[in-house]
Order: sequence, then C-alpha cells, then structure tokens
Amino acid sequence: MAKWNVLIALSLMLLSHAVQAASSSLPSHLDRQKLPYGCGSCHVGFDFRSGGGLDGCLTCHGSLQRRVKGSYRSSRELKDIESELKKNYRHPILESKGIHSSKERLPETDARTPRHADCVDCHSPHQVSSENRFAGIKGKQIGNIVADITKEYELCYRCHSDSANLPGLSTNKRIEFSTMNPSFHPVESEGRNLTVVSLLKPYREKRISPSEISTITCSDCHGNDDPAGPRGPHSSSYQHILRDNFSTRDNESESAFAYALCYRCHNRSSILGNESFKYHSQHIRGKQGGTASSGGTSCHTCHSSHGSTEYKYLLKFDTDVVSVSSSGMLKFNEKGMGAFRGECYLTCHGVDHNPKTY
Amino acid sequence: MNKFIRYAGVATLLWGIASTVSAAGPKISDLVTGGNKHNLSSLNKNITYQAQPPVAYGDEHNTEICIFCHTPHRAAPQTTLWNRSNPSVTFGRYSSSTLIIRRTSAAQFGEPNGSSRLCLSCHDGVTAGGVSLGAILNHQSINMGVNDRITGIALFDANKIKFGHHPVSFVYDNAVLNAIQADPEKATQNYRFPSIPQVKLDAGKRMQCTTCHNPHQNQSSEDTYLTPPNVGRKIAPFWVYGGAGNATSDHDAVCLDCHNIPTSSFPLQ
Repeated sequence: MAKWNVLIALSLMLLSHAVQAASSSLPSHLDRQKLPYGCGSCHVGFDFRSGGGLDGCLTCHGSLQRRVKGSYRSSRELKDIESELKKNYRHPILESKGIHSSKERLPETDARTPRHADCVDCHSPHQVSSENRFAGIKGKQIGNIVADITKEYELCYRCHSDSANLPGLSTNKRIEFSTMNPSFHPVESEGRNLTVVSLLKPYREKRISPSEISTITCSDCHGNDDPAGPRGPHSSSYQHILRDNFSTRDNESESAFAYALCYRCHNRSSILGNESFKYHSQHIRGKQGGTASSGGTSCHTCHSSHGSTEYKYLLKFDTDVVSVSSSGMLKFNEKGMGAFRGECYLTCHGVDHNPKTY
Repeated sequence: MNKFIRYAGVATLLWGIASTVSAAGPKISDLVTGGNKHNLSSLNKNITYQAQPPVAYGDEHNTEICIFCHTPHRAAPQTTLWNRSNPSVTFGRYSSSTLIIRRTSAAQFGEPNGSSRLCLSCHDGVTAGGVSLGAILNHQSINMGVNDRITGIALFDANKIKFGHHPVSFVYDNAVLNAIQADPEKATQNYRFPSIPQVKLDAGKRMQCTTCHNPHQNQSSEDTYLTPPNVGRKIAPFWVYGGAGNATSDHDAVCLDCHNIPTSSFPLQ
C-alpha cells in the first residue's frame, strides 16, 4: 500500500513538473495551459478570417463585455487593452480596421499608404509571451532584405523613422537619435555628454557599476500613464503617449507636475538651482519666479526630447516660441567645453539675445 | 535508493502510458452507438446527414455504409471505386497575398483537385447542379430527408475556400519549402514537411483534405472542445492523428507538424 502511495506521489510530481515546464517555456498563445482551445482559439474551424485582426485579439484582450468566457485561462485577469485604446492619446489601433495589410513591409515606401497601427505591427501573436512581448516580430526592411529587430527602438523606427507616409508634422526619429549627433538621449547607445549634472541615481552618463543606468528605451518615456494598466505605449492620458505629464507650452508655471516626465530622471532641485546653466531657473520659472503668466517656458522651448542634430545638451529651439535675434540669427555657441558657458542668438518673450552670454 | 529508482521508473512508465492513451472516434461501421458522421446510413445514430429509413423495396441501399462514396462495380474513374459525380463548382483557391505557394508554384496550385475534390462532392453542398448527398452513380438517388445538402460549418463553398480556409491541393515539395524559407518573414517560422506518420501528402506531394483529416475514422473521440466552461464548442472532426487522446491537442499537433512555430523567443534587448 505504502509503495503505491509513493508511486502515486511520484506520478503526480512528474505530471505537475511536466505541466509547469510546458507553461514556462511556451509562448503564451501556444500554451495549452493558457489557451484551452489551442490553435482553435483563434483559427476556429480553420476559418482564417476568424483568426487575427483586431477583433480576434480583443476577444481576450478587449473589454470585459466583449470577452468570450472560457477562451483563456490565466492566473490573473488579462488587461483591458480596448479601454486603453479609447484614451485621448493612443496608437490608432481601433482605427486601423481595413487598413493593415499582412504583406506590408516597414518602413513604408509608398507615401499614399494610410498611417495605422495594428496589434500585429508590434506583436507576433504566435510567439509573444509575457516575458518578451516583442518576440517574433517582423523585421525591418533595409533595401531588399528584412533584418531582424533586436532593440525596441528598431521596432518603433519601423513607423517613426524613414516611412514615406510620415505625417507632415512628424520627425524622423532615427535621425534625431543618431549617435552621430552632437547630443541625443541615450537610446541607441550611451550618450556623449559627460556632464549631465542633474541626473538622478541610478541614471549616469556612463555605466560603471551594474546598478547604474546609462541607456534608456522609447518606452521609458512613452507608455501608459496608469501604472496599474497594461504596459507599453498603447495609449496615455498625456500628449505624445507619455508616461508622465510634459508641458511643452510657453508661459507655463513651473511645477513638479508640469515637467514630471523630465523629472523622472533629472533632479528638479538641481535644474532650478542652476547647477548647470546659470539662468535655468529664470527661463523655466520666469522672472517673477513661478507664478502664472510670469514668462516661464517649457524645457521643450530650448531642448529636444530626442536629440539635436546641431548642438550639444539636446539644445534645439522651439520656433513656435523662439524667433531670430535682431541680427537675424538663431543659434547657440558653446564657450569652453563642459564649462556651462555659452551664448545664444534669438528672440524670446520680446527679449533680444544678440547674443546673451552666460 | 534502488527502490526509489525502481518506483521512479515505474512512475515514469505509467505517466508515459497515461499520456499516450488515445480514444478514437466511432468507427464508420458502428451502428450501435453511432455517431461517425461519414456513415450516412439510415441505421446510424446521432448524426445530422442521414438517409431516410427504407420504406419500399429497393430502398435498402439507405441502410448501406459505403455506398454513399464507394461502389464495387462500375465506379467513377476518379479513384477508390468512387461512386459520386465530380463537383461542377468553380471554387478558386485560397487568395491570401502572403501565401508563398500562390506566387512560387501558381501553376500547381489552382482549383482543389485529387482527393480534396472528392470530399467536395458532398461538402460543396451543390455538386452536379444541386444533386443531393444521396445522389450516387449506380443507383437511384437515396432519400436523405430534409438534410440532403450540407450547410453550415461543414459547407465549403467558393467564398470559404478563397478567403477563409487552409489552402489545399498545392504541391508541398522541396521547391515550395525552399521558397517559403527564402521569404524573410516566413523564414523565421520554421515551416517543415509533416513528420507525424499519419499526416501525409498525396502521391503528387500535394496537401489535400486527407493530409489532416481521415474521412473514415476520426482519431479523436471528441468533436467538441472538452475544456470547461465552454464544453460543446465544435471542433473540426476527422483528425488523422489521435496521439494525445484529446481533440484540441490532436488538432494542434497536426497543425504544428508543418507550422513548426518556434517557441524560443527572439532576443530583444
């Protein structure tokens, strides 16, 4: 009797081990522990029209009302992506119906193709897993070949860099983040500027110890503003699908909230304390020191969030706010490397900088 | 320790046996419990498409099993002592623009042919200008009652074959496999020739309905999904493979035999 008990116990152990092994090594949609209907979960009756597409994905990942009971098994409730896609700032996935083509190659080469984003542009349904949400994604087109994507920014560039159908107001992010630029946020590699005095720990210009962070990803800034919601840049309540607020307007009162996105990595006290640029605080808070309409302006007025093809320190003037100086110039000259000294030629808030030297 | 090894060995053996137990579906000849959908005999039970019971002399064909597809004499020339007219429908072919076989071997991939066309002689629902399922070659039509044409999910019309169904009747040979592997996006998906012995191409190396479906014997006993809470949802029947003893697993094993989707993830840094 005791022998049989041992035998049964061993059998159960082996069984449970086998099930666990299957669960942890399989992509989510190939895992029968998660999808009790297997291939038939999406490809019902081998009608391929019923598989794939936004509606197919939302059968499990949509609103609770839309979900088909029993379609999946999960130890925790799946996130509701559908509600996310109705936020003000979003990838236009709900609007992509009938536009996405399974044969498209990105970056887009035809300027007439309507812009869109479908679930499968960023996720490969057969191979995606919670550990790697980009597993199995399509590659990027380089001439006649398709190269594998191994970095998140390469995935974003498929639509946000060299696309022929890039909207008029959109910029080519590959050019902005190029490591050949005088300055860039460290997405493609560590940055070139070694004197970013405002950096909060564990961020650092060059990584020396394993606990330090010297590179960031697109999704460090672009993503869900709701930490309890699904991760990723599906949508946000903030403009440009940013994870935190980033006011880019002129005549703005400085606050922790106004530039919350920047202050995730850059120490607000350091910036307002002028630890680098002598007049940082004055520019951001205005001359009256932070009251509304005091003339304070956004970080964005002088800095590009992505990179600058002209200047160090991510300097790039927002020409919606800044115009040329009385001598017709709009430029920045650095005086002494890393000495936080320079001069600006521009006009802003009616003040002529021709130049203003600091 | 020896004891432990012995117990572990026996346990592994039992686990192995338990995991390979399969339950095949009802045999075509099973008239007692019934349920094999390809047995259209009036004596079969629990099926939708079924001949009417004989009511007069000469109606006894209604009780036969094979006659709906096969005849021992004066068979149609197609194959396997065939007892049906060829489908007269133009079906077209699966039209997805991503289909490599569509581009690389278009000459070999057109209208369903071979055994698939024989399957369609019933499953198109309209063969030979609306002749019913009981329209065999070598006897007067068998009375099928109200369900004399296939409708619903088992019906494969031109629309379904063009837009929704897995392509059939394409040659799946080295040239085609190489062409698929040469496509930059498909190359990562590990397509391969079937390796499960039951999953077979036909003599012309074509993938046909019979590659995945055995018309005589469903190797899984279930025709619906078994997993709660949605027990009863229909699963396509007559899978050639029954190794897992569960319709969904068997179905997936057949799919994954060619669509060998890699389970290791791309490294994304």
